Amino acid sequence: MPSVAEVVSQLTNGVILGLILALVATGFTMVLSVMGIINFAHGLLFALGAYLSLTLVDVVGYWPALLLAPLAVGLIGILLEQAFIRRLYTKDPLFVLLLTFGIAMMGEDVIQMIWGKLAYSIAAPDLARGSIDLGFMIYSKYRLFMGAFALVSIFCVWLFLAKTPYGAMIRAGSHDSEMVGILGKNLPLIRALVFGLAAAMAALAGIIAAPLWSVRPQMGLDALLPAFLIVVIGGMGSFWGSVLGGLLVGITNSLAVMFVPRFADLMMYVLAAVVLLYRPRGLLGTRSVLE
Amino acid sequence: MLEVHEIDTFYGNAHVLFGISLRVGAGECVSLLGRNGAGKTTTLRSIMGLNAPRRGTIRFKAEEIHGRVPYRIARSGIALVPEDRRIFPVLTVEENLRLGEKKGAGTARWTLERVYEVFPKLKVLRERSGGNLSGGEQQMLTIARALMGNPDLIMLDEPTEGLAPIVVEELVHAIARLKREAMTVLLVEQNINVALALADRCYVLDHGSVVAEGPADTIRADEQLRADLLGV
Repeated sequence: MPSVAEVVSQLTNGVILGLILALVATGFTMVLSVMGIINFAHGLLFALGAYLSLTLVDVVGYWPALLLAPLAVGLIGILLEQAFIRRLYTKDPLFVLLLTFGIAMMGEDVIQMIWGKLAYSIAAPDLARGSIDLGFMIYSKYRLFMGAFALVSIFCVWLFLAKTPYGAMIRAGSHDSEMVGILGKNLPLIRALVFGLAAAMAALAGIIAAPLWSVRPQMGLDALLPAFLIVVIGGMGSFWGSVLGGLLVGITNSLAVMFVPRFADLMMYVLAAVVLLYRPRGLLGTRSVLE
Repeated sequence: MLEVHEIDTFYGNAHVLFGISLRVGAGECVSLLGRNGAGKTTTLRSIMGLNAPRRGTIRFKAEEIHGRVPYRIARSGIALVPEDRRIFPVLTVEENLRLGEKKGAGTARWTLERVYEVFPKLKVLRERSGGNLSGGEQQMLTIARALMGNPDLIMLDEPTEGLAPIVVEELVHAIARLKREAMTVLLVEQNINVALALADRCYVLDHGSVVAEGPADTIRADEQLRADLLGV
């Protein structure tokens, strides 16, 4: 049996993983609820964040890269939305599913062309190197930094959504975007900005995850699948649902690694199935993806 | 103020409006009457640009608005209060109202204070979330939210649908007040008594065409028309 310290340490890993995934998932659910589209390219934006920071860290250093990479990916997101995705809002949802799936695959190839197939790792910033003795356990400083950074990012996004007029527009838009347009709000602009914000959030998650996960072309998919499950578990369109779902998936995953390592990858699907059995609209959702 | 000329609107391949023409003068209250499925809501959606007509013209304040996207039409000064109310349940009453504010519309006559003055109940409920309002309160909120955009023309789609008689009365008073303040109103209403009480002129729609028009008094007096086309 693992010791208490081991369990606590693994639980903490789970919470931190959950926060990273929540940062990916909240953006995913924003796009899903405001535009009504499932963006399969969301994982690509996560990967792009990691790769861009990989290059930028060498040029400008860690902290500027942490700022510049999400901005760049946010812009890429806006460009994707403007060039391709916005043309399909009124079409059959299958079209946009195929389109974003295609973008994700092409994007992965582009990443391979630029950075190659090898896995890289990014060094943690100086202040978060090494480990810290918390008394009852010794824990990685960088993981704590990751968790804190993800938490602060999630909180900032929430503040923006809950306390600003633009946030109110987005919240209203996730409920009924046509009505937001009827009220004279520039819906096309709101959609582009939501897409950009979601892309930047995914990129940010990719960057802070990069020193811990290896940076490789398939990392987008590694983030996309859990993000999708988290949105389903938490409830479509629910910000806190995605945070809660992220934490549950993170904790489930890390405990599974410890207790049932052979089935670790399976457990988040089991979790999703159990939640959906009892709450078909997810934990905090008021309607499902297909309603 | 609004001139709709021979518009044809389709839902996919289904042809639903056949050459509808109508006119609403400044300060006038015009009502669209007709049975369910006659094309009343579609007419409003066509004007708003939500289902842009394939043919015809729509002029508002002497400007062609046909072909513009809904938010531009809204900014030119038209407000739509849709039939299913469509308040934002996740936002508070005041957030719903603030969302109605818009740039570029007419003179800023409507402010939060004035809207609360017309609908005092909303002031009491201002911190409550939209999802926790009764049907009548939601309807007041949609109208108030539309007013916050300071429209020159307000289009109301079935404002009294599904409301208790006492609430209907309250709403009729509120709409009458808007009329007195020279607001231009285009009203779709199943409740013929409400429609005739408020409207100066009426258009009767049937199967996507205008089949009769005239002053409210004439429609009221025409028993045959009322029996044939309005089912009353």
